Amino acid sequence: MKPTRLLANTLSTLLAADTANLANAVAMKVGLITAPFTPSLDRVMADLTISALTGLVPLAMTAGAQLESVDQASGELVVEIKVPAGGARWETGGGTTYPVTVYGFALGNGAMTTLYGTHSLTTPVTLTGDNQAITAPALQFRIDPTQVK
Amino acid sequence: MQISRLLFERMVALFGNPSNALLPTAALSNIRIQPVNVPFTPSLDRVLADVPVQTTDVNTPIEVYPDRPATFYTDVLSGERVVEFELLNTPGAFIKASNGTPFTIFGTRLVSFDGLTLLATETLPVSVPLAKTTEAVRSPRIEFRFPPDMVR
Repeated sequence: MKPTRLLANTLSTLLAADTANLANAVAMKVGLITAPFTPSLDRVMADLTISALTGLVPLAMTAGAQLESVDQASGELVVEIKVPAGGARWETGGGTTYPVTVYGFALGNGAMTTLYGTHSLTTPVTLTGDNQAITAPALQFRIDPTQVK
Repeated sequence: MQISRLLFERMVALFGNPSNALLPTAALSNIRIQPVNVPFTPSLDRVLADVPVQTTDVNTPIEVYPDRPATFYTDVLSGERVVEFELLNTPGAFIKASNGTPFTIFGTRLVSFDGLTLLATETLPVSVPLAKTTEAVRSPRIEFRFPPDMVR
């Protein structure tokens, strides 16, 4: 059936407030993916190479309910991951072996054992020395409610 | 972001489970399927006034089981995740109650038990007039289908 907007909107409101996943009391983490990958519904954490290098370890986001809204321009339902103070930002340092190439970002649970989503960079970023930074774009799930049938 | 299957299926499960106060739960009376008697196009923006129902010469609305877990599955042909609700009435059909004036059912609408909140709509593949008693239109399945590429 085609839901009304009232019913369809519950997709994003419930997802953003789901204490078993995105709104868990233990903050989710975002990790840097340092090997080529192809985003897919069936990706799991074990498929990905997540950086554990100094300064480039997975970063805790903000625990609790995530941001949820409707994009009035596109009509999409948007769930946006709340970043910590200082942003989703990584900076090299401390004797890492360079170069390190970042291909994208992985959103996982606090233990980084369960993958919730991936963001692939159009152009990978190569870090070649200390004091170089990379910041994640807005980490959003955009849901097109018109596709429900 | 590309959503993982785990989170995608969780999203659909939250939609169809009692956590969703708009759908049948222990705390809410059963919701209803009603026969729409005008042509319409299903849309997110449909409102009750767009989809009037046949109220006379037809059996009572079909109700959806309250407090009954929905069925969830993946349609392997389309890849869609599906939530299906169980009908309370049997048969799940709109049956003409007399040989009076013929009428046509063009689709169905899903409403709250009090009939004041429109939740969903669906058209029938073919609409034909019901002319005589015992003629009927079977209600489509009460299901919602979610293609995985609806999330990006």
